[in-house]
Amino acid sequence: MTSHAVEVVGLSKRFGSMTALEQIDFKIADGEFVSLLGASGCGKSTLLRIISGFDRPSRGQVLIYGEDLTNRLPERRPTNMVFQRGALFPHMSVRENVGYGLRLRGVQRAQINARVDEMLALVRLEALGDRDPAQLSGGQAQRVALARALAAEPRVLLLDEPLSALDLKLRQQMQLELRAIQKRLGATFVFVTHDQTEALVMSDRIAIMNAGRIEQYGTPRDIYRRPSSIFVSDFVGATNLLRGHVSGLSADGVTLDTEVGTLHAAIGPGLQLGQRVALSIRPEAIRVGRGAGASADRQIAGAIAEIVYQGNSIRLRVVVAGSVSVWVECRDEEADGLGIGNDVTLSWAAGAANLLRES
Amino acid sequence: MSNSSNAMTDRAPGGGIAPLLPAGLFYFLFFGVPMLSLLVISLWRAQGFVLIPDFTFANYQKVIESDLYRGVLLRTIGVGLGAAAIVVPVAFTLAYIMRFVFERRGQLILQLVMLSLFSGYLVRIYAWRTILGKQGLLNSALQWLGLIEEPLEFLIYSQFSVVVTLVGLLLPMAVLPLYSAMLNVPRDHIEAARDLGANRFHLLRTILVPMVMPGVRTAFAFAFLLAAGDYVTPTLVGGTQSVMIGNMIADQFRGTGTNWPLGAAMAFIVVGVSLLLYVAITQVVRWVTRW
Repeated sequence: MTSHAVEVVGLSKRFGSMTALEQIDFKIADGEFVSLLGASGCGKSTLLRIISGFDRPSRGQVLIYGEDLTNRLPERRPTNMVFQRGALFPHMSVRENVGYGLRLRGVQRAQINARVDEMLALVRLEALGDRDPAQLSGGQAQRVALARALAAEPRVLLLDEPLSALDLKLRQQMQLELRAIQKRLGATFVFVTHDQTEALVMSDRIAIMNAGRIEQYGTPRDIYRRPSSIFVSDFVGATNLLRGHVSGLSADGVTLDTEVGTLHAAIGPGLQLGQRVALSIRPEAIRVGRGAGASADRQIAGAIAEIVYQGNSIRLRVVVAGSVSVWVECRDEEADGLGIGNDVTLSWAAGAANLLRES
Repeated sequence: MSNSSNAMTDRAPGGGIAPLLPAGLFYFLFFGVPMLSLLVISLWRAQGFVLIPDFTFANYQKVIESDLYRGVLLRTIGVGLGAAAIVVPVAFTLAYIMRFVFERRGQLILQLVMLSLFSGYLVRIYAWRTILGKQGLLNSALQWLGLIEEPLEFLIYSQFSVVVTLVGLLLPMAVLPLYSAMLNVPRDHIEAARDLGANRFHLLRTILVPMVMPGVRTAFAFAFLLAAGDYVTPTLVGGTQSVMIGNMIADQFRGTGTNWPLGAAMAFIVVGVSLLLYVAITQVVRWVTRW
């Protein structure tokens, strides 16, 4: 049996009467880059802290490569953490910071030096080894923090929003760099973030967390294209939710009575007549047709109420059925000649709409 | 490992020395001038009650060559070091608990520590007398428990009572700089060190003490210098063998048989020895916690 890098079983965490994590079960494969994505307070950092050993779960287990480490102290776990603000030791040089973990283990000085050189080369900071942490920029400090955590040769690297304090350009560059380093080392990374783009760009798999639970766990493409709940579809990327209820079930699909009229969708599991549902359609999956059209299975008619120019794209707010706003994102040229008040027809491909149950 | 330069001294903000002038002037007027005048007097002679300007090191020679003065000086340093050796670790532990165990409520404990300072120096010394005295709290309690038959004599008017009282007096003074230094240690750094494999001992030696070093230095300076310079405590709770250099210096400046030049010379010898010890001990601590 090949064991997973990380396996979390039936994990719950309570702080007093507050439930931070509720019955979490998930697995991370060896060499995988997994992001825990969620808004602040969703429990993602608590989950990371439990994996690192800084918090104890109220119930459940944490296994790392098959070994139950639930009650093992953080200093004795084969995990290392990159902290949000680096947490470099101010009284040590960059080299001393990177070599700290190995030094604690009593590794030979020559070996430490070689490993420190290797790690500084990995994060492209060979020239800065003798600097003090105070002399580093934010991006450099986070690279040193990464080098320090990796130097200790963790079996699983944990990253707690390490890029959140950096500006956008640097953050985007670091995302790719971090991803490249992870691929090169073939290491297992668990990355906590509240930034969905960051999670989509870097991860093999994303765990979307909400109110102490994992809402969905899947590849970035799965999460984006096949959200399993209204929460996920709304949290990751922008979406239009057309709400209504199931008015007909047949072999080739579902008939929905929605706020914008009768629509059709592919059949989903466990649907019943009368059930409250929402049809989630991404703004960029909607095509704009000129002139008023008839409502059809996958088509609705409305009038443009707002045009937002974004440079590389244009966002249109189209009011349908008198009061429902539907956002459409299209390329600049597609919107040529369209103005506020124009009648348009919105349509989408069969696979572009996701039928989600209201909780 | 490699040469780590000291971040504290490396960074000098620009702007020249002009902004330092007011502080420099203050320092000169209120510290420099009195010390200089004392230094000048230490080179004079005393004849009866008259000071005679001179340029002689005779006073210094007298202090250094006298067995009595040397003995008292050594005892003073011993008491100072003893008090500091107790006060600093205890204060460090208290500050650590206030910062990392009580967190927010640590501020409340800080207020209590401050409150104890309000009760005044002499009152606190007398308070220790009521605890350590022959009929004091401690002896009565021990007798009541049947642990001792006769009151323990060494509890009061002894070297022991001097050190205990000084420790009690100086503990709050040492907690303040240590606590404020510890507030600057983020919990992340402690966790980062543990995450990399540091046990409690490593944490103390390689992270906590080096990071609060300015606080340790200040706490040690407060404890050692105030203990070694104190002359009220030995007067009130000390015995015949507890006279400290402060008492001897004070005697040179008041009452009968005063000798200001001699007192000034003693004071400067104490300053010199204290400075040397301070530098030596902080270097030792730095060396021990060095990586």
